Amino acid sequence: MRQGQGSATGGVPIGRYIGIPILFVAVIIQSTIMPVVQVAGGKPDLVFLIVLSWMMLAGLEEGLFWAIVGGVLQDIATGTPTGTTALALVVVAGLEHFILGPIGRDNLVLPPVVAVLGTIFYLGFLGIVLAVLGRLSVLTGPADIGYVLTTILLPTLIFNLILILPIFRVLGFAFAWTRPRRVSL
Amino acid sequence: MRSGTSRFLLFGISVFLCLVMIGASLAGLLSPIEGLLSIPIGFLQGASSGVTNRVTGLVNNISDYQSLQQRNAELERALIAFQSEIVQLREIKADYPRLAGLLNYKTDNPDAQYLAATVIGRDTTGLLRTITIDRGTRDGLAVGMPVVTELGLVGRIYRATATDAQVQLVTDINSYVNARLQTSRGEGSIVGTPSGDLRMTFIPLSEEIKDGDSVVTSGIGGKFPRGIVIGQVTNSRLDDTKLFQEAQVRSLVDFNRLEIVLVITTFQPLDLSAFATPTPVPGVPGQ
Repeated sequence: MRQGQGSATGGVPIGRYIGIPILFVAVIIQSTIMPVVQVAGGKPDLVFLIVLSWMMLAGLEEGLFWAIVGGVLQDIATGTPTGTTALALVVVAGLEHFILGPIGRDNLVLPPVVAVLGTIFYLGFLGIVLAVLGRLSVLTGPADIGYVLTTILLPTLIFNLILILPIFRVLGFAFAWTRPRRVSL
Repeated sequence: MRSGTSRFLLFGISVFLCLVMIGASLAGLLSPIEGLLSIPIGFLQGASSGVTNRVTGLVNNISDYQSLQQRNAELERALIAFQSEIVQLREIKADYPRLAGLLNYKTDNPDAQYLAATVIGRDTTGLLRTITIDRGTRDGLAVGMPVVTELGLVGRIYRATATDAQVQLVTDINSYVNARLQTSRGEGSIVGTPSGDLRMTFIPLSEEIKDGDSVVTSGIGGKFPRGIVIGQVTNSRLDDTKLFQEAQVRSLVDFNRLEIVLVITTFQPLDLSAFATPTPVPGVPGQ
């Protein structure tokens, strides 16, 4: 049996589909609770952290699935054109995979690094996509860019840095649960 | 495990799928699916927002309650301060007409120098009619200096310490002020009475006294400068000896409500003690 392709009971790719409820809940929390705890314009990006963590844990195939599902749900919840966030998540998660590949769930060093760099790249890429789509018109000069960096990117970066390890650890248990135990005969 | 090519292919397909979704979404082709998905998302968002709002509302209420308590305490302190300030301002407002009157009096009498003093005490025995003022010899006051208000003569200083002085009012029964009727120029003496009124005595029979005539200090005797208003005649009659006339005089000064007075500091009372010593006459024994 290939990793990530089915459960111990056989055939059902549970590791892929448990992402749907997880991401569904994450999108709800992201759009209702996180705005309450936001500092300046920045708040934790749960969907991004979950997708990134699963990509680091489960690899490209499931990671891309989670990225598309999470992105689409977030787009629908926030009203941005469907596929916008999904595209940014796919690109960032894909880059993570091609640069680092899957990492062990006990690794506590790489996830924060990936979270920081991934947040910068993710928000930057998402901003470019939204600007191209005409949905982001605030970045009209250096002052606006500075404002975005200090009031949105920096707080989000700090939030994500704080939350990446708990999320990575919790998803690590979920990842282990979805994988069959190796049995030696 | 997938090969490198297939992984890139999968990634490319995913990116392409996203781009297609964006295009379709912008074109409105995904509206039915988006609408369908937005129903449960919207429902759960509403439920979650309700809970979130209640929790944040509760937290805000607690925070507001604490800030309101603090604000309430601050406002109470401010209210006390303002009430105190209002009382002070009312006092100042009440003092203003008096001070304005005194200022006018000073302006109308530029020859003399005045020192304003606040009345800080009154005679408590009821036998004397005196007041205590908050100025003393340290401020340049001396015994004998006249005390006035803009309404007329108040009295004279009869005792002074470094920090305060006592003033004998003209209404005191021991007070004696040489005065003059302003119209007829008839002279007499203003004395206090036990009832607190003023009486002008020793007015010659030849003088015509009119009710309402003003009475001013005559300056005779050197105890008071001349021309200070004492009061107005209310009625007149012959005195008990039938040798002089006397008149009831009503002062415009309310001696029971004096608060601020002026001391004429440039006036030096005449020392008449020299005249008490008999002048030696040459050739007369025993002198």
